Order: sequence, then C-alpha cells, then structure tokens
Amino acid sequence: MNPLPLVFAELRHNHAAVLAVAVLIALAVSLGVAVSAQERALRNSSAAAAEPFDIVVGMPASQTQLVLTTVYLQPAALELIPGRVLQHLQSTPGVRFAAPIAFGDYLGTSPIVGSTAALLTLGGSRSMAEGRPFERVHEAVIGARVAAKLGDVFEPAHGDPSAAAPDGETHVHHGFKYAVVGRLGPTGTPWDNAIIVPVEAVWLVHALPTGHSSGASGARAKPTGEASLLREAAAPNEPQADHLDDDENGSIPIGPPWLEAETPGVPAIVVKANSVGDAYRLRAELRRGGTTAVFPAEILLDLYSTLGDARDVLAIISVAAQALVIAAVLLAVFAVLAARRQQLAVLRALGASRSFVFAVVWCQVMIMIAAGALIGLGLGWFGAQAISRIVEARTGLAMAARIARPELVMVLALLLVGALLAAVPGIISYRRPVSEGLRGS
Amino acid sequence: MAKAARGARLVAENIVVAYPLPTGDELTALEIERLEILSGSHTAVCGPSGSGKTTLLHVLCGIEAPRSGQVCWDAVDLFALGEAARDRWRRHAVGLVFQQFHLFPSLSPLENVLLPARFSAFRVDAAVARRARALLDLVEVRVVGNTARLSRGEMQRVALARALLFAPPILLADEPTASLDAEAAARVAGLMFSACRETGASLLLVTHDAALAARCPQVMHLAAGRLSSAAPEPLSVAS
Repeated sequence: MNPLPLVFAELRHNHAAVLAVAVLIALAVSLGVAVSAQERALRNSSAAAAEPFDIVVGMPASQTQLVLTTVYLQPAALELIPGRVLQHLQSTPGVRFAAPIAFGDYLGTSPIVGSTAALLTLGGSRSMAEGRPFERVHEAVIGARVAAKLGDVFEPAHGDPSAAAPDGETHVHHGFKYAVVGRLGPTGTPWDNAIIVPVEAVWLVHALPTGHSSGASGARAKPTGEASLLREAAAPNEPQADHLDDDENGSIPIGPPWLEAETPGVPAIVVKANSVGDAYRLRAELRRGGTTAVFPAEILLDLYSTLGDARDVLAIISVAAQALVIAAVLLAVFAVLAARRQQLAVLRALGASRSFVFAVVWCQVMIMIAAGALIGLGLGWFGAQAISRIVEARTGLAMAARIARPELVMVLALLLVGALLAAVPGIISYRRPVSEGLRGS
Repeated sequence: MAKAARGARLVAENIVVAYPLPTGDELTALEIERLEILSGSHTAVCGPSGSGKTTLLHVLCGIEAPRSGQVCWDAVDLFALGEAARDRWRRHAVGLVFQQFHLFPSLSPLENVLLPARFSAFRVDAAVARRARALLDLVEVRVVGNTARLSRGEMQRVALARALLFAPPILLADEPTASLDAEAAARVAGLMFSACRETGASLLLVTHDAALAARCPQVMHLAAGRLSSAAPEPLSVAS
C-alpha cells in the first residue's frame, strides 16, 4: 500500500493548519534545544576560561566575586592582599608561577590589568601571537580583540569608562604612556579585550611604591631571564618603547622579586601549581594567615549548580511546553478526525484495509510533528547562536553553542512520544465502524 | 475498453440487521429472507427514505455485518471472510458509487480515480494508470485540475470512473443521481449502464428515482426493511 500520495495531498490541502501546528511544535522544541545547548556552551566556555588558573588568592570575602573578577575581569572593589604574600609565593615550592592581578585603568572599554610576564606566557606554556612580553614599565601587551596594533602608544584613563563623569571628562593620567609590544592569541575569554601591563606601572600610576627599591634600578637592569631570551629572539625592527623610557620611571625594573616592604597590596593573585598535590597543599596554606584561596573551577561548579537549577526550571518549562503543544496537536487532530470521519470511512468502503487508514492518519500527524521538531532543532540552534553572540559581545566570553547528543536525544524522544501519541487517532480511525462513518451521522 | 469481466451472482439469505434503541428495544432495520441477483443483471431497489436501502447496500458489499444471514457473491461467502480479506475482496470485486460522490478534494481527478490502486500497491501499475486515464477520458473529465471545482455532474462521473478502475464484476450505486440535475443525472446514468453492459458487471442500484429504476429490468421495493418484488400498494412508482 502507499498512503503517501493521499497524505501529502491532504497536508497540502490543509497547509495553513499544518503550518500552524508545525510552527507551534517548532517553537516549543526550539526553546528546549536553545536552553540545553546554551547552558552547555556557557558551562564549557566558562570552565575553559578558568582553566589557566589553578588557584586564585584573595582576601576573605566573596569567593565567587574573586573568581569572577580574575577569570572574567568583572570589575569589583576587592580588599588588597598584602604585598609580602605576592613576594612570598614567588619562592614557595610547588608554585610554577604566581602573578598579581591589579586593576584600575581603562583604555576605551579595555581594562588595563597589571601583572607580570609570567601571566602572559602562563609560566612559559603559552607563546605570544605577535611581538613579545613586556620588559619595561612602559610596555603593554594587548589581548587578541583589542583594537590596537604593535607600536601604538596610549595613555590610560582612570576608572570604569561606563561610569565616566557626565561632562564626558575622563581622568587621564597625564604623563604615563604605554607602548604596545605584543599581542596574545585569542582565548575566548574577557582577557581577549584586556591590556596587560607590568604591575609596577599600575602601582606607579597610582603613586604607590613599585616593589623595587629606588636604588635597585641599576641592580636589576636586566629583566627576568625568560623575558630576555624572548627579547633576543625578536626581530630587530620590532616596536620599541625606548623613547618612553626617557622619563625618570623608565629605568624601574619590573617583575619579581619584589621587596616585601616596598610591595603594595594587590586585589588578587593567580597561582599555577606544579602538580595537583601541590595545588591542594598551596590552597590549604594560602587559606591560613588572613588570605583565602580557591580553585576557580570549584567555585564555578557551585555557580553552575545555581545556574543548573535555573536550567532545570527552563528545561521543565520547555518539556511542559512541548507536552502542551503535543496535547494541543492531538486535540486538533481529533477535531479534524471527527470532521474527516466520513472520508476515512469512504476509504474503507472503497476497499482500503484498516492499516491503510491507520497509516494515513498516523503519517499525517507524524509528518506535522517531525517537521515541527526539525524546524525547532534549527530554530533552537539559531537561538543558541544568537544568545552566544549577545553574551560574547557583553562579556567577551566566547561561547560555542552546538547541537549535541542531549539536544538530539530530546528531539528523538519527542518524535518517539509523538509517534506513540499519533497512533491514538490512528487506532481510533482503525476501529471505527465503516457503515456508521459512511452515513456521516 | 478493458477486459470484459463477468458479472457475479448474488445470493443473500435470512439477512437480519437490528440496532439497539436507547429505550432498550430493538429496531429491525433489515429483514430479508432471500435476495438473488443474476450474474450481469441490472437491478434497482426502490423505497422511501429510512426503508433500509443504504443498509442493504452496506450489507451486500460487506461493510456492515448483519446480525444473522449469509451473503454470497458467486462462491464468496462474504461474512465467512475475515475483515482484511473482505476489504481485499471489496477493493477488486465491487465498485461503489455514492449519492454524495465522496471524492477527495485534495486529490486531482486522476489521483481520485487511482486511489483504490494505492490501497494495495506502492507504485501504481502502468496498465492501471493507463486505465484510469482512459476512464476519465470516457467520462470526459480532465485528469488534472481541482477536484473541488468540478461541477456536481463531473464529480459523480469521476466517482464512477473510480468505481470502475478495477473493472469490478459488481457495481453498487446508492442514489447515484439524487444530487444531480436532470441533465447531469441522465449522463451519469447513461455512462453507468453502458459501462456495466460493456464489462458484464452486475449492477444493483438503490434509488427513489423512478425513471432511473425503470431502466433496470428488475425492480424491487423496500419498505421498513422488507423486500418485495412488486411495488407496494399504494406507495408506488406512480410518479
């Protein structure tokens, strides 16, 4: 038998109603797909963003805020960790690198983050996309998405630009300029929008001691060995900040070691441990003595469980929406079936088997559900992409929302349930007495 | 045009169709001791509305099982067959024409005629497709087009073509001309009789159209579910 010509003819004949039903199903499915795909994308990308940092050290306060500030560069007023902790960590066994993170200035919308060369290379495990790490206090390295090029010279403004004074005046730190000497590769995190400068520069700009005795400048004329190696490997016509070094600050050494007494506080320190065992030990140690230390991944897990609750609610809503839509579809099918009772009886009278009539009804319902589910899958993907773009634009967090197994399983489950439910009107038509239907009573 | 099919001989005996009433009583819709139709004959059953004409037709083509009795077309004892076998038999052995045509407006005239072929085969046989076109040609309806826009006469001609697709030995028609104007009715009736003559099919039509009935050699009358071969007095064929 071949019910398809009749099925397609009937679907075409009632295309407006069929389209409405398919769109209704598609919307319900797309909601579920988008929520599921987006939530996973958020989880994956935020975990990836936290990945380079084993431990984040801060003062005891909101641990979540500490992680959000360091991993996502979300501005917040954090209490400062005494400078001696930073210096102490430089020589603590098990530490691969410990880099400060100091905030304050902005260039346009790009936060200027004070740190050390170790953060740029993640302790030597990451190479620069362009140029080299900073070696002097006037040098800066930009994130992948910062709209500047090597050799650019800029002068930062203080504070968050979104909180700028109504007269449009920005507080320029007159006299302190940076030259861009390097660019990091894309990380898919808010760090892509950041400008990283030596932490000494941030201290200097804010009239703080720089961690190095003023007399030590000559003693530490050479930067860290690692940085100098890179320096020698660089091309001879690379951008230079030499002309900026002519002021009295130009000779200030950068990077560890610092003098404990001369080192200002920093809001956060990120630490990479040599091993997992070291990480646990370091965290325990850093939780003593007035500071706190967290595994960002762990804090994010807590966040996810909160997000997960919201996700679960949305998932339940989307499943409920799908169930309601399917119920509405079945109701519509029953209404149509009542009207088409005579037609189906005619099929039987003309010699169609009961299974033919069942197939005609089942196929029609199933095609509507399947079309809706497939359109919904596409719409859901599209929606997840759109949300990703918005989140990316707002936070700099790259989110790759993909349709993966959970979404496919969801759609398959819907199709399966749809297939079973579509059998109900099919069976009802199957069992209906022909003679009664034919009379149209 | 098509292979000449022999008609079939009907013997129906002791048919009782009864429905339970809400009051608990029963309504006897049909009570027929014996009805015999010779192979290839043309028979009309006349009777007023509610006399059981449609019920009789449904019993004779096996879509309504009587409470008791036997319907045999040639060697086929209809209600001894299973439902699936009865469907199969009806598909090929019976052509049905209804008062309200019962075409599918979503299908083209050609697809309407081919519909019975879809019940059994995935692909329509080329010979069957040719026959469908030839039948539409015979009844003078274009194969393509919007079935819903056809005139009533054209619709009934398409329905007749559909009934004749498999050149069935039996053609059953339920008030085939009742919803047509005189001209269209005459045309449909003419096509129906000539088709049956050509294939040798047995024709049984129920009607209250005396003129149509008069074209059949055998006319029976049905009143309150009972058959008589003569017109009951004084209800009659007087008109």
